[in-house]
Amino acid sequence: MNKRGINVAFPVVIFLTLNIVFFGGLLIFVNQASTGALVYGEAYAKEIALLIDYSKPPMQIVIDFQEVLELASENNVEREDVVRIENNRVAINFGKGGSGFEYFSDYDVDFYFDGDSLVININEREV
Amino acid sequence: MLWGSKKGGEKIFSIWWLFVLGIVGVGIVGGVMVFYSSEIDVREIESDVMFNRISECLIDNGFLIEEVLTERFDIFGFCDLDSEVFGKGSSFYFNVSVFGDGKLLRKNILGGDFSFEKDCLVAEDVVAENYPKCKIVVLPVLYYESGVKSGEMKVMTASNNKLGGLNE
Repeated sequence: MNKRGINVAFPVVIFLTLNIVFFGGLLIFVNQASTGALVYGEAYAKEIALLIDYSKPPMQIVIDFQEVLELASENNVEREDVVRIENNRVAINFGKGGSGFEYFSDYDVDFYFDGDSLVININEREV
Repeated sequence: MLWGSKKGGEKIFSIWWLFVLGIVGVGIVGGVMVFYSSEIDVREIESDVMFNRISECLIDNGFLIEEVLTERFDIFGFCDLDSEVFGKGSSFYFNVSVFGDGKLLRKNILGGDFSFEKDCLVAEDVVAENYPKCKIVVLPVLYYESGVKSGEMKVMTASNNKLGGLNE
């Protein structure tokens, strides 16, 4: 390519590169926002609280928690710190803040991880 | 084109293009922020779940549980509802009344924030986003009173439960 050719092509290349960078940045932003920790935290906290209220003890609920655990791992949150169910509240922690949601049932609720699944045991409270 | 061009028209085009990019960028970022910052509203589902829970607990095969008509009936213990959650400043509310033979047999089996009752009535007529979401249902029931009689149980449930932080 001669000097004139370079002069014509150079602005085009820069123009295209800047556009790709701009729209690529927007795509990454939208993707991160839609799969963000806060969205997952809220959704899972509410889902678990509603499941507890909707359940009839004795009942065992198994929830696929793979995505949540991967997000937590990316944010250096230990597996045992991701979920907390106590005092009628379900709290989900991903390291960047977290979400808590209240449920109204007076059940004995305990949980554990079985692989990437969250297992919730719901029993009647012993008097 | 952007930079490096010597033509005036193309310079104007590049400024115009930057302006368009700015508008598009701000629009998309703003839209995404607004969309994902809005809370997932499950209050209606929650008041529905509470209604199912209470009605299934108090009615057995169409018959009203006998204890309901006694003055000392404790709905919290009977239906496994947490009395502290329904205490002062609660995000929930329920009120159960039983009617039969054209009279009120049992009224105000209730718990939670009493102000929700008025809010629910107001919210029936106007759109009130921050008011609790309510469910009011009148169910036919059978009950024993020197023989089997038919009556009605009115159940009102409401929830204004919103997302909290990790340690609230």
